[in-house]
Amino acid sequence: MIRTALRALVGLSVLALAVWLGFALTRDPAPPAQLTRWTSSRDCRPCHEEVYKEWEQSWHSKSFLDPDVREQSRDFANTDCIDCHAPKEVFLTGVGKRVLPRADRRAEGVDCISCHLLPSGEVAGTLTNPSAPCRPVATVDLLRPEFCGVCHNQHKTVDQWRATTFAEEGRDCIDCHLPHRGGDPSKGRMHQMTGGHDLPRIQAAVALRAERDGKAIHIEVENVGVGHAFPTDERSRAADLWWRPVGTEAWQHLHRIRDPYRYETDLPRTLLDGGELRKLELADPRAEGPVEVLLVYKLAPYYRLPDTGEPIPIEEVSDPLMDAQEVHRVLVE
Amino acid sequence: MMRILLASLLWGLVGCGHAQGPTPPSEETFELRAVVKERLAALEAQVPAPAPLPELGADDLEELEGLVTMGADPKFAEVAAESVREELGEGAIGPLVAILLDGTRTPRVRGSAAALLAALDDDRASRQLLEAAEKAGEPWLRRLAVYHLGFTSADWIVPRLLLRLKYEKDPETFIWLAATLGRFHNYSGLDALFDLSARGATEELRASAEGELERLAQEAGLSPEELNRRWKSAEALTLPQPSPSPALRLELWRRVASMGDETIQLRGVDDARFMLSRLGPWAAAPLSDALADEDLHLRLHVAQILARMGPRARSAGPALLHALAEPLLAPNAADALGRVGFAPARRALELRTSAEQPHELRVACVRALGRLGLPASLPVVRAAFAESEAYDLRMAAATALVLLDRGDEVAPWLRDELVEGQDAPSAELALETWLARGADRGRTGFSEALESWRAVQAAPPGVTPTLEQLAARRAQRAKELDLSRLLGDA
Repeated sequence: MIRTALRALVGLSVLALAVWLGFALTRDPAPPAQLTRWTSSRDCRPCHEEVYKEWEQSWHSKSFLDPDVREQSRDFANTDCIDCHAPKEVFLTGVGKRVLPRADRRAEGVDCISCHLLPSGEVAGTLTNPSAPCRPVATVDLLRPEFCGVCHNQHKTVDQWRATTFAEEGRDCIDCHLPHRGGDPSKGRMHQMTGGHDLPRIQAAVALRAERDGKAIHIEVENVGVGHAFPTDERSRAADLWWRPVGTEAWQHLHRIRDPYRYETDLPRTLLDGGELRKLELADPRAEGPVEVLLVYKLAPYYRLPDTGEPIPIEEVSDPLMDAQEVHRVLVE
Repeated sequence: MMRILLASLLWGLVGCGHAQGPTPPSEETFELRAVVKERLAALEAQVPAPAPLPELGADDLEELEGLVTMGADPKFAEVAAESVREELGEGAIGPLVAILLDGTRTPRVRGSAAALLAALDDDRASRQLLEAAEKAGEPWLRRLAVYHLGFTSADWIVPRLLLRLKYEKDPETFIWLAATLGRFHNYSGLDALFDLSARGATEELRASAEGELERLAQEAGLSPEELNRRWKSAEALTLPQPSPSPALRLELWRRVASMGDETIQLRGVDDARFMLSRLGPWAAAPLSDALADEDLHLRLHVAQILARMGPRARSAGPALLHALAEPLLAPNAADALGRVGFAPARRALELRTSAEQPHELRVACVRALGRLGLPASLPVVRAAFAESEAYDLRMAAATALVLLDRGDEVAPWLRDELVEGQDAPSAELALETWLARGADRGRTGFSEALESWRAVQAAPPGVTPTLEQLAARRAQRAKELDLSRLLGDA
């Protein structure tokens, strides 16, 4: 009787130990964190200080507050602009679908939540970690050009990229605009997402060459470093080539690189596509002596007088640098 | 017994606590279905595809040439029109279009062809005129096409003419756009007429715009200003109402369908939002039906369109109220309820400001309550403002309190936010609204304060300021805003 009881006790103990071991070995190392209800991208800051600061410096964070945007949208009275300037989460509608405008957090522009929040309440990231407060889930979709395309392909940037060697080589949006910090994948990706506001990036994007051949000057402008057209933003970006005889003040307009507004049906598309080399010839009696050739980049398609802001026709501009950034300047003897 | 009493007391206290704040809304079902596909199928069955046009024989063509030449003389235009209608009929459409588009012909002859096409009042002819109105390179031809379309019964052209208000560049064409839209009881062109009559480049243009403005107003039996006011208010329903043809309703549903999730480019969506939000009050009913479509993009954009129609779409209020039960649509439905001014939605909006509701919905509801402007919402909006952890909600509540004429309560907080705030532009906008409302009501010191406020600018007029200049403007305005003086009047 005692022996039977002892056997039962030992059996039960072994069973309990097996159950405990089974449970201990199969359960997650830490309990899953409770889902957070995000009300601001500032909620991400305590754990992701470095990324947050980078994003704060980016133009994504200013997409709703940028004075140029506010002026062009009449302080967003044109609510069409809100779709991309303060979008709901990309994953709500899905990669490859249009984003929708949101009603809250507009001042935060294109923020952490817009890109990372999943419909489940978890966040899209590089690794899955259920115990982290934001419950990240490894999501490869974050890396796809189509992810950026939900907004940026409104201006055909992703389509332009597809037509370049960048696409063939597998170099896509994030390789240039969200590179690894210091080139080290273990340090994560930089979130400044630099583009048309970054002069060194623009300077690396295009090359300008000019040489004399008798009375004419041959000018070449080439898209050497961009995986899409230069410039790429149809609505407001432009680049202009100017020239002037050395020793004179006034610049002469030579060529405009731009995609016109949808209603400018009388203007041609002159964007410099990926890898494109454009050759121009300057044959002007005033260019027979030494000449300077200038390439400028513009965040708005029109030139405005600096003191009044009044737009002036390009033919009346004598100093393009009053409302443009110098990209390259070449001297031709 | 004592325990029962204590439990009752506790229950009562809990109940009182709930009574002070909003309670969550009850569960309501919202059924989604393929509304747009159903409506399109039904209307496409009603609106026959255009039949092929018969060809005219050589004699008829010769006669048509003569009638076109005759019609170019205003004295014989009516006779020519009658002859084309009765003797040549639909067979004349093709040759008339050829004359209309023939650049070697004189403008008078081409103009006569446009008038004769309109006189036929056939949808196939109107379609050609509409294409000319949209695509002709010569402004005079666009003007003529738009003008003559006003003498047809083709109401389905209205959405596409409305889109011309977005893309047209010729000032005179705007006058005829407004006129033709007016003939179909759509007054969205009035703003352009007011603008041209005041600031048109030439005396002739100003006079022409003013004349058309007067004519439209006279037809409605109102002053131009009153006509425009009514068109933009819930009183748009008191204006003459059109009976939209099946072809017009089909056009509406096609535009709604173009905003679905299969459309990637925003251009078409922007265009659809533009034209649909400028339709008359009749459009509120079909658009309300589209709120239940299974496509999220589509129903959300429809809510946006109703919001943009404003009080003219107030009849969509019940449908928007019901749409609050659809979680993904609810924030946009709330926004639209505020903008159309549907007062019966107040309680439903208040209930959705409670803490357990999604943040975006809470913010949208607080904003909508401000726009409704009903004093009964004050406790709920004040509670939202008191919730200091949710900045976005707090800013929405502060703005709503300004609209509810309680700006005095939040002005000090808003002024602090001008300098340090996460959303300083919203604080600036709310404070300016508060000052303007105070000035309108004749409150002591508000007019002067508003003038000083507006005198502080970030950059010369017309110059786009930098972010730093804007921050400097706000800091200066905060410094100069003497709240102790203004609030002393409260």
